[in-house]
Amino acid sequence: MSASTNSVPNSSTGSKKSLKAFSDDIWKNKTAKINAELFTLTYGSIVSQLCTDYERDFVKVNNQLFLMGYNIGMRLIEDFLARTALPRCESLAKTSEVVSKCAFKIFLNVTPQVGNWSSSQDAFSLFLDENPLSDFVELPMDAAKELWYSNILCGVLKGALEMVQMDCDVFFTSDVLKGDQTTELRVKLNRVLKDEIPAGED
Amino acid sequence: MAIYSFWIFDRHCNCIFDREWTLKTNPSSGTTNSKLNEDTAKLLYGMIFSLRSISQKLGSLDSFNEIRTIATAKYRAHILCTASGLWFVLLSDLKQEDLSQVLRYLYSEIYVKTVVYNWLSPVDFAETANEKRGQGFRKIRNRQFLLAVEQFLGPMVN
Amino acid sequence: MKQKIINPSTSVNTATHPGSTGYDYTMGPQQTLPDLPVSSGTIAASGTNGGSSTAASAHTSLPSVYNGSLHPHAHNQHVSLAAFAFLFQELISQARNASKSVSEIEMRLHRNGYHIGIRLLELLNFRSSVSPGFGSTSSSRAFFSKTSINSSSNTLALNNALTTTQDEPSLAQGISHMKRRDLKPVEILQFIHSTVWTYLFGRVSDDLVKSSERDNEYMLVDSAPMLSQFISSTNVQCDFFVCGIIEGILDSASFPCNVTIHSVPEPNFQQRAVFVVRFEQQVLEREALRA
Repeated sequence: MSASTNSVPNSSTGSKKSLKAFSDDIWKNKTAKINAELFTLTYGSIVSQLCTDYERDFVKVNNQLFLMGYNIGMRLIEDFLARTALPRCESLAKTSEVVSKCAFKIFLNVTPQVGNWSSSQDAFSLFLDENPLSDFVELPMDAAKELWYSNILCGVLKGALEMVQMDCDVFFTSDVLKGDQTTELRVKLNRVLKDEIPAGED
Repeated sequence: MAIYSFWIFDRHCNCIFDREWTLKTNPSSGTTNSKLNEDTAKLLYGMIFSLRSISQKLGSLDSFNEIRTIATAKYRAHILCTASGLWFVLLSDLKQEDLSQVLRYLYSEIYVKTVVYNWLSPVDFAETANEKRGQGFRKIRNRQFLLAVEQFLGPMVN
Repeated sequence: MKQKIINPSTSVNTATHPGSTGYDYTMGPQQTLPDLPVSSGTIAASGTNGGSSTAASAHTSLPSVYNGSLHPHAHNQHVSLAAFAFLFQELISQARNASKSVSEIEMRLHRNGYHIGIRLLELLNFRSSVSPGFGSTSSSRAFFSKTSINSSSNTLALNNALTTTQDEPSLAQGISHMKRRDLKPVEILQFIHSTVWTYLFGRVSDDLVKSSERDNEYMLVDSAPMLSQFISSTNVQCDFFVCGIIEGILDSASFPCNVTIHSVPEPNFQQRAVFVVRFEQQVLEREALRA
């Protein structure tokens, strides 16, 4: 994987260390693990199956991967909250940290770099130096242009964030598999959703 | 040690699980009075909902002030609210000071393992928009879940 | 670099080869993506976001799959079982949505596994050929440099290797001779029972038995199948995925066969599964000729 170093804007640096130690502890002591290569290979077989099913219409494949991820995200968030007992984040900066240092860490054992904040602080990027989904993957020529191989991740983030009332757009803007320098996943917060209240209460 | 009942509310304000051990209409068939439970669920939800919003208003804006227990003269309600909007509620006698560990276990070991990890079980119990905002009626029917709850809470009932 | 034998995918040479566009037998296969930067330093990245890349010439040579080390420790070794469980469930949903019958779902899962199996035979054989001590000597510590931040167990011993990134030795250097191919059905099944099972599930399988009724039939027993542990009350046997993996391995090892799964619960092991391997007749005939 590329050794790019992206400058991270300082966002609430106070809790940085503790969150990392907290996540490391969960990963080390409280997480059942499985061979990462089996995970990689299984994902690979899912993607290749989809490419066949959709007759190499990669836009459809991207959409389907996203949808699968969304379904996962809706469930994964409960597992995440059950293991971390974290409350909702008070800011997007905090969310970005929890996603990179905690969520990615305890599920995939990687810690993407957070960066590329928008001026209005409503969008950030995750730079995936390591991506367990795409180890040893090379895209075939016809797929290199349109296929976002790891698009399932976007869906997972979208689904998980929506469950904690954050309506976000999540998409890849670059991928080393396509020959880009970095693998960059963009998260843009549209709005914070309101908790539902019982009918007749408003 | 006595637990009276266990309730789960989802993010759509619906009661998706209720188990009341004190209501024994017909012990042999194991059925409980579901209509009565439905009303109780609404009242219980309303009580927690109101107290929760008050307690959050009383706290400062940026600090996190979640309600944990409510005691009356007859019982104590123990509450776990997750960031995803699920409420786990246990009603017990007044001797139970703190059941937060029990609630956490119900969430992380039982709900997550048998509902969330189980692709046959839905995680969103409102199938249409009409079933949101407390108008839903679907419950967790998953056998594994029911069994695990019974095994875990059964011994604490009395 | 020193002279290299041709061993695709095993070297971790990060140097680029100026002007190499075709297949160079001294180098092995090359990255063939059209819009990759061809050589470092001279040509700036032409990708979509190749804005200010002239200064960062060191980064313009992207790692290709052929540069990745095959050493099991060169990458992230583990992900959470939860992440896998969620992915596996989506695999099953996908199979379910695309199928009309239970057997069709199982066939699709089987096929997904099969494609994994055919990739594993060579890889695991290759890895088990590496001499045991290799990788712990100082010269080859650099293998771990990428992961020493993450992999907790190695952190202490390997921190000092962080600085060396260039001269990572090929894993092939740790092999004095390749492990012999398994020729007998029992041998290859033992390979699955021990090496493959440990690779996939972190432990050997619970039993390997020969059928007393049919002489082309063997049984692999797993008391608590790891992948399907969260899936309950379904008439679909999700472990057909594992059947596919086994069959893929056996097929590519020239042991054509048919692998099925049967649920045989025991009081303490509700999910106990028996994988039945049924070799084709030709395997037995070949065996008879060899004897």
